[in-house]
Amino acid sequence: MGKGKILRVRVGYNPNSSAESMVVGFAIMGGSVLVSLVAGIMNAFIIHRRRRGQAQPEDQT
Amino acid sequence: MDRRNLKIRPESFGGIVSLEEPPALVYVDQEYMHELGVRDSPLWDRPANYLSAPTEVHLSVTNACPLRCRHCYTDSGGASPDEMDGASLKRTIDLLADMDVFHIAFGGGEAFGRADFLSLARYARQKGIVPNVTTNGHFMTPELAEQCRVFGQINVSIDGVGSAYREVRGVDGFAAADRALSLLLGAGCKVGINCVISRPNFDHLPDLVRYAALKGIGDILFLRVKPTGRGRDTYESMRLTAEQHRRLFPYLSELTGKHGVMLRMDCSFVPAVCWHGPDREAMEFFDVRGCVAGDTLAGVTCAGGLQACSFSHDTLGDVWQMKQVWHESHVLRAFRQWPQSAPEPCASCEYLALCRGGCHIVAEAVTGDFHAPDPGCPRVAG
Repeated sequence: MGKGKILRVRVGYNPNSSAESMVVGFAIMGGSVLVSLVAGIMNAFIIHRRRRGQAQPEDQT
Repeated sequence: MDRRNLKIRPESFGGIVSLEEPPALVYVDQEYMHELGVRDSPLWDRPANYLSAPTEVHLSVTNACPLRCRHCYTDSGGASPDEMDGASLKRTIDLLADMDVFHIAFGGGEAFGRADFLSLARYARQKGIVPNVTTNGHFMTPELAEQCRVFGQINVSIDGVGSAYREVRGVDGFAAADRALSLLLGAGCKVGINCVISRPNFDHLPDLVRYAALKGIGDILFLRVKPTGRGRDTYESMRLTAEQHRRLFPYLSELTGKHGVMLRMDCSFVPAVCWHGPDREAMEFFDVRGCVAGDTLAGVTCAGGLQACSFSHDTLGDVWQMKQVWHESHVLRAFRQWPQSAPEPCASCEYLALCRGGCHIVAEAVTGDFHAPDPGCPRVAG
């Protein structure tokens, strides 16, 4: 893929309406599987967009 | 709703990409944004040390709650006389959508006590925001559970199994919570458990983690008792001891690892994590940080008051001023800049940039000083 970098990843949702929740165990124990999964999805999206030839910011969502 | 879609928001460093499967917020640089097909953003010419908007907003929809737990951080019970009506809450969601907020964590009180609550969650979905919620399960029915798939995740609050629930909360809600979990799981919702850790249940946590695993729950969020709302009166008797704070992280890691449950902790527990010397790069990459008020997070009260986080007693204005307040509030600036003027022992702590001094709301409530270090941090407690 290209030269762009993933800087950080916040995993999961926070259903809690008071404090922010952190997936701590995962982060500390290592999360290479998830990082690979996230990167794979992002790369697939990039390839998909290139094939469609779309690059309109208005069409981001 | 197509949950495969990505939502992208430019930021000064590049941008944030929201994924739903798996749920994640991915922070990327400008080059990556180009690769995603995003054109140059005006934000890229203006370096900023905070985000253009929160990624998540905690939106209280009512103060009414049938349980009246003794440690409740919002003093919930009766409805507030000035609660926003459905139209105002939808306008609030419109505003958050306009700011490109990714997630709303609905709360209360007990959000399902509002007759129009599900319509608000559906409205958030329509506006491209993922709705999430925590419930005590009191109002859950099979019909309601079927409709709860609209949420990204629902957590049910359970501080103890069986009689241990009552020991912590002062009210017996375990049967209702257990039934709600079963209904939501049966309906195919993504479900987790919220557990407030306190002195009464600290030694009973193995029972809760075992219960979650047997139930098929893969996700428990452990929360800290806060000295706000009714929690002001119970904080001293319920807060963890210094020894428990030191033991907390390895204790929870071992328990959750043993039963295959994902360990989540709230941001105020981050000092207790840092004390064990975890890998800082891993923490940074997975965005495990202390206080994120005014950074990724903002709160909105059921009356439409804007807060840095939902524990904060300061109302920064009304929600309609949110775009302006986000950039101009001196209170939000104080949260964001806390590490820059951190006192000892935080100032010389190698985890300061990640921990950010722990919970400033707890520090202020306990010491009277917002700028004081979090008294629950093992390094501070000595």
